[in-house]
Amino acid sequence: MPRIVQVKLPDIGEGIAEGEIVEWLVEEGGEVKQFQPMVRVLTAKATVEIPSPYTGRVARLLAKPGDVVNVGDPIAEIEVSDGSETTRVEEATSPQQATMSGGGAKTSKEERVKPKQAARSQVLIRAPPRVRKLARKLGVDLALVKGTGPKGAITEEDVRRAAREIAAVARPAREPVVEPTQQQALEERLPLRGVKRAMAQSMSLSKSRIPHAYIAEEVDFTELSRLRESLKSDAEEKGVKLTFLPFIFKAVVKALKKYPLMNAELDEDKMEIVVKHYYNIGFAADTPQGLVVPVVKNVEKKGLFAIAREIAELTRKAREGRLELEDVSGATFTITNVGSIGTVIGFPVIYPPNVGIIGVHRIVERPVYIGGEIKPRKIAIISLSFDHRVVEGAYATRFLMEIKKLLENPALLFAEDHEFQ
Amino acid sequence: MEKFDLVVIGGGPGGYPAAVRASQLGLNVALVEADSLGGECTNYGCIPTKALLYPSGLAASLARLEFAKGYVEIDFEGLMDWVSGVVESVSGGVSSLLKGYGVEVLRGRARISAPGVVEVEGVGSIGYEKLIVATGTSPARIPGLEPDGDVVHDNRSILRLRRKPGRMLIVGGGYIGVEYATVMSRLGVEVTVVELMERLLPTMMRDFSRVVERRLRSEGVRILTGRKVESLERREGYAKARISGVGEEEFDTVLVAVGRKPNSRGLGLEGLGVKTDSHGYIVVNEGMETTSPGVYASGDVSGPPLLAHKAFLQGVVAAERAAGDSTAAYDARAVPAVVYTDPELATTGLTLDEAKKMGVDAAETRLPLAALARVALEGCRECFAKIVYERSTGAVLGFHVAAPHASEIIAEATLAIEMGATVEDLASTIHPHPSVSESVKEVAELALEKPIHYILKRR
Repeated sequence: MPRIVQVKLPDIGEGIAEGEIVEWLVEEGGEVKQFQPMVRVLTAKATVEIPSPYTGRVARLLAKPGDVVNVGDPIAEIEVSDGSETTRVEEATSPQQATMSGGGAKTSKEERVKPKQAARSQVLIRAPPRVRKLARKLGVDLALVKGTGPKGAITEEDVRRAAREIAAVARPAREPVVEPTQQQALEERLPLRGVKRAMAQSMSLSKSRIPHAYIAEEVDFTELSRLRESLKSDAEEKGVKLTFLPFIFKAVVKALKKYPLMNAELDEDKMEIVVKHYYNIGFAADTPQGLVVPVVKNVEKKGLFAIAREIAELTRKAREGRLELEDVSGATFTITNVGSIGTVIGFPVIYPPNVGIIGVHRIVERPVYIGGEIKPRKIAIISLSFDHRVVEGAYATRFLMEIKKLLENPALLFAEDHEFQ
Repeated sequence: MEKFDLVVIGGGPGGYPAAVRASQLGLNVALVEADSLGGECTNYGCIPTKALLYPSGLAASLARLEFAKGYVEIDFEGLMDWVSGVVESVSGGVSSLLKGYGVEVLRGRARISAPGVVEVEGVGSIGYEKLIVATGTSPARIPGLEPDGDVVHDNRSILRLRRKPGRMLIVGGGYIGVEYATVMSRLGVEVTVVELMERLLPTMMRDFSRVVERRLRSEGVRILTGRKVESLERREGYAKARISGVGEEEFDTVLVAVGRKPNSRGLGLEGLGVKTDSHGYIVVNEGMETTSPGVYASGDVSGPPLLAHKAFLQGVVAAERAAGDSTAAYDARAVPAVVYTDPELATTGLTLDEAKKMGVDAAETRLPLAALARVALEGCRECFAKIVYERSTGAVLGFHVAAPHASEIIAEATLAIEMGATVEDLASTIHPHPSVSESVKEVAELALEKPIHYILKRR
């Protein structure tokens, strides 16, 4: 049965409520295949490619690049060709599968099943016609509503509650256009969207909720530089570009193991510290879209080259705007390395819900007294910002001194881990 | 040129309810009808066939009672005249309804001559703000089997028949074919049904085909499935049909009931940018909006299933949209369908196969109805009810029943699906005894493995 079906911005997960249309990968009137990437959407955390849930002809695109759309909002209309399956799917409003960037064209068995699941969830939404009508009126996607009626049936009250929740997070409509004043004419208004907006929100949250405390320490990178030089050719042979960062990753993880409160999160509701025994290290990456924090997962289980390779890959994906949600989720501690650009000292803002973040600064050759002699040494300042509710100054200082010790005696980085346990 | 807020093209089930609702919402409405108000359903479909079935069914029911003495003879011409009368009165009802709501009814063929303008043949042009296209479908023409109104008929011309057929060939074993086979065999006509697929009612569940085939055969209907009418040679007062695998046979009456085609051509829809699919059905969204803003389509012309009651709701949705309610939507969870054979077959929602294909963890329970008091006294050994539900919640997904008066109970199951009711809800609802509606409760009880009127063997 031929139908025009609406494609709605799917629930991408991770609590993302909206996205900005970056680019359409299909055009009106063009044919589109099921699972073919349709549109690139910039969300708070990453750019995602939304695959088409249907095969058919693109009848209308309902959003322009630059538009911010909420999850569940229609973004396009597709005229589906005949076939019983597509007709069954037609009214699916449940979250269709969204594959993150780069994975959009995958046609694994698992993904092929998903449109059916969309149809299934539609069939299994138990809401009487009057409740469905109310949901349409209030702009509520029933697929996202948790029913409180018998065996999960959706009631009128459930829909009203969902509408209130949506209204609470929705932004006010755009201001009407007014003639700019003379001064305004000389100003430019840049919309804070996507990655930048996420950063703004996360930074406000951090500075308003987390009592930051700051310390810094000079670290002598001379030995580590030598070690890095000696490993460089071996690394290159294996296709790894060896920077200081993977060494710092290793040092940080070893120090975190010794000072576990630094690898934690404060559960404010329960007033409990959640100590994490896995080490996912996020690192700040500068991209054309803004600052993002890709995460290397389970650093404690990875070798130096593997870490280096992952950092390089994530950095590349970040620059190309291809980070997947998975790539930017779950950091337990953060490193920001601004030394490559400049600045000898700074104090980064903690990336919630982490307890700490270190800032690595420019390595400067300095005269240093060693055994009564002045020697040229490669010195950089590493600063630590920490959540003073979770750890106190002495603990944090010990943690930072541990990092310093490991970086100044890099052989320790490769000594056996159980020495710390 | 007079201008209306809304012009509805078509006075059938997709059109007149739209005109009524739009008028209720304060729009100034005109409706254009090229033929007779009520559309295919009232004039050539649901209404006349039910009118034919009712008296012939009464006679057949009485004839089954061995103790009923006497013999009812149905005068064919009288029956057909009476059917025409019923049709006229129902169509007249639609007419008064539209008049009562102040809808301007224009008689003639409509054509959109320019955006915003409908030209009504023999009447003149009218302007519109919004347009609803509800032009329905027509019988598909099969080369060589075109109706001539004398020997070879479609579902329209057959109603003009006044001479009782002797040997009748029905081409097509869909619901029209089996309903006519039922009527005609009851009237004592020697009926042969030829169906291309391997069973009658090929688009419905197998259980239904079995019931209807068994019953028709027992009434003396010859059923040729998996066969084809290869050619038809017309003679004076009869036709020679070559049936694959059977050979040449003579029939004095032929009914061709094979497929429908949408009436979307020649209306000038192309000029508005209204898109149709490869079969010619107008492409719409759930708001019954076509690809052209302000133009809606409802009923058959917007695609299958081709059912009057589905069209009713679509017409209302289209009217509400046209009146500015952007939340009106056709989002039926279950569309009931009935075949008025003996017993009646009624279905709503999903079959187990359909549910499984969607990946739903569904289950099905089937209850033979021969022992259900009300069914038993009307006599039906092959009657059954089937309920399809989600395993974990028991939510009703589908209901399928072969029973006398099945058409009257299917709405209960449809309501259950729309409301998200579970089998437990149905089993806990009091149903009048004795009634066919008890089948809903009984099959739900069986699904819960707690039947009262059925001996469930403990595993």
